[in-house]
Amino acid sequence: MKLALAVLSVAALAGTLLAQPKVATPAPSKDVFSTTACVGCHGVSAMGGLGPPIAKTKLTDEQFMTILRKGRGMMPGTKPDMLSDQDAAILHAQLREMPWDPTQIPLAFKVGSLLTTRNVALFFLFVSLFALVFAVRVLAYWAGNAGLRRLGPKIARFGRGRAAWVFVRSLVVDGLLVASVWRKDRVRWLWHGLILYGFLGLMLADVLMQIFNPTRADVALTHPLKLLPLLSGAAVFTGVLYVYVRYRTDRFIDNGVTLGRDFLFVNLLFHTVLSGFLTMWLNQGGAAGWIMPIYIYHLTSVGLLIATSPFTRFNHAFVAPFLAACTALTEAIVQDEKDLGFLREPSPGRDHKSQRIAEGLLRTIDRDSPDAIRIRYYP
Amino acid sequence: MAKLAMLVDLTRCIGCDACTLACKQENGTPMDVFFARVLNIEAGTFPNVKRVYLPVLCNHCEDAPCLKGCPNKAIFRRPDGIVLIDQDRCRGTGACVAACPYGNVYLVRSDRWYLNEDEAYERDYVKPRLNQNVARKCTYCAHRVDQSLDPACVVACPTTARIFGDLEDPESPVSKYVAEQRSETGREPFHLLPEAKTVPTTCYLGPMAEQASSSVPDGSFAEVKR
Repeated sequence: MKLALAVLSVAALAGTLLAQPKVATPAPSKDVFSTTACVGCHGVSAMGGLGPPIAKTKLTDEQFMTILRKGRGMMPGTKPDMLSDQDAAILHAQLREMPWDPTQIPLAFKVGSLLTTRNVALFFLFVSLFALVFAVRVLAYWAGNAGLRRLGPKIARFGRGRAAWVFVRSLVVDGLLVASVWRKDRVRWLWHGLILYGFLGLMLADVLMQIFNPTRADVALTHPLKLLPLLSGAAVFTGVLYVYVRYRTDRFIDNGVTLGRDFLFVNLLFHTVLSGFLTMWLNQGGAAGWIMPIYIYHLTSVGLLIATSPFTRFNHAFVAPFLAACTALTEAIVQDEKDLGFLREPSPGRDHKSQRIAEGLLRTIDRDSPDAIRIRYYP
Repeated sequence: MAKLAMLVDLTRCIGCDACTLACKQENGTPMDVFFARVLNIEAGTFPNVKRVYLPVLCNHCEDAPCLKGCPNKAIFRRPDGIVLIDQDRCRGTGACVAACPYGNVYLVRSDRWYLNEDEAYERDYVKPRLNQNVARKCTYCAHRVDQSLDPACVVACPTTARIFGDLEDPESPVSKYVAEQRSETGREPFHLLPEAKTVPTTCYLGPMAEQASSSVPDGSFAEVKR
């Protein structure tokens, strides 16, 4: 979807550029170009900076005004209160007259020109696929620990549809709603919710943006497409700040094994949200020179956050719900088996895990390991 | 730095469940919760059958999956190697229960007890210490270890099948026992489920000699079976 939209937008862009330009406008009466924020990206000689060269522009008046007012790609729109229609017309004329000097095209533009919507989409596609492969491996590891394969025949007896219902229900209740934290500590649930639901909001905003505004043409801050990421980002940012406080005040935050990986996740999240806000703020303020480096920094942070997600604390976002759902499923199945000898199984899964241990032990101590193994009794 | 470990000699274990009971008394666990279990494994088909007793308990893994899987960071590893569940931090999510490949983590939503009315032991010692709806597991009796005592199951074992100590200290009982068995019987300690790559500290010594699996001559039950 993302890719298709990106391709469409690139095609549309090409169409615009190929359109025949209109000729003849009055010569520029004053220098508008060097007083605008355009210089930040397009360079003092209009031969490009992080944005493309625009000297000797071939855009028609109409195209020029559309791009100027609405923005295109990473370029923000400029409102009439910043640059009047009159001055814009003069600017257009001035640009047509400015000399074309290929030696002035800076290296930075060659870097910047790589950051097309399509390339950014491809970058994230690659990063997401990388993370997905490792996330699947991580989940396979946990499924192995939980002994899901041994649960197979029991699931068949239990009913596959029923099992799927128990599993999905637990994913929603224990994972999405974080029921266990809700039961024990509402305040902690709220802090956790700020990050969890804020992050989901950011992801949703990104998807909506790809669908409704793939070229990132400028929209007002009060537009839902902007409001959603702004509010979500603020929620995540607040939550992450609280996590930093907790890292200072919680004496038992270090479990002796995972502290480094935990902190990496928190830091990446912090940098992602902060650089996102900075990009947006600079975009509004028109300090164009800084937009591109900070936007690249933002893209890098997001990329790193996603790419490292299977290995940092980020993985709790999918590992913890998965494990809780495994426990819920095993519990439901064990409760369903009538020959247990227990009113309630206190450690769901220990019966098939004990079987696995017993088989492993007999393979270790007995060369011709017997085929039939039964655990006669266990407390 | 120490590396506390428990060694279980399967040659010595007679499956009496004294460890199970000693653990239950020491830790005051509710109904159905057993930190130290003994699996009675019946293996083979008649007449080639045998029974193996396998005491299992928390393995206090160096790369503990329960610790990595806990979303609340309630499980931690002490410098001496004991893996503990912080009963105040635990929120009963239940991730560790599925994460443990050995099935040694217990999570009971509400505790039940054996007696209808509390004895002084339950009323004064057991119940006030227990948080509800939290995961629990064997602690290697950390409260006893901190007072230089052996875990309750080790003390209770009538055949001294369980040996506890610091593997990094060559003078500890467990190090001496491992060295002695290595030179005298050629047995090497092994771990359960090595394929899980959890690097447990609880280790086992196998049965010493393969005993005849049946005391009757081969084939003498063949007719009866038919």
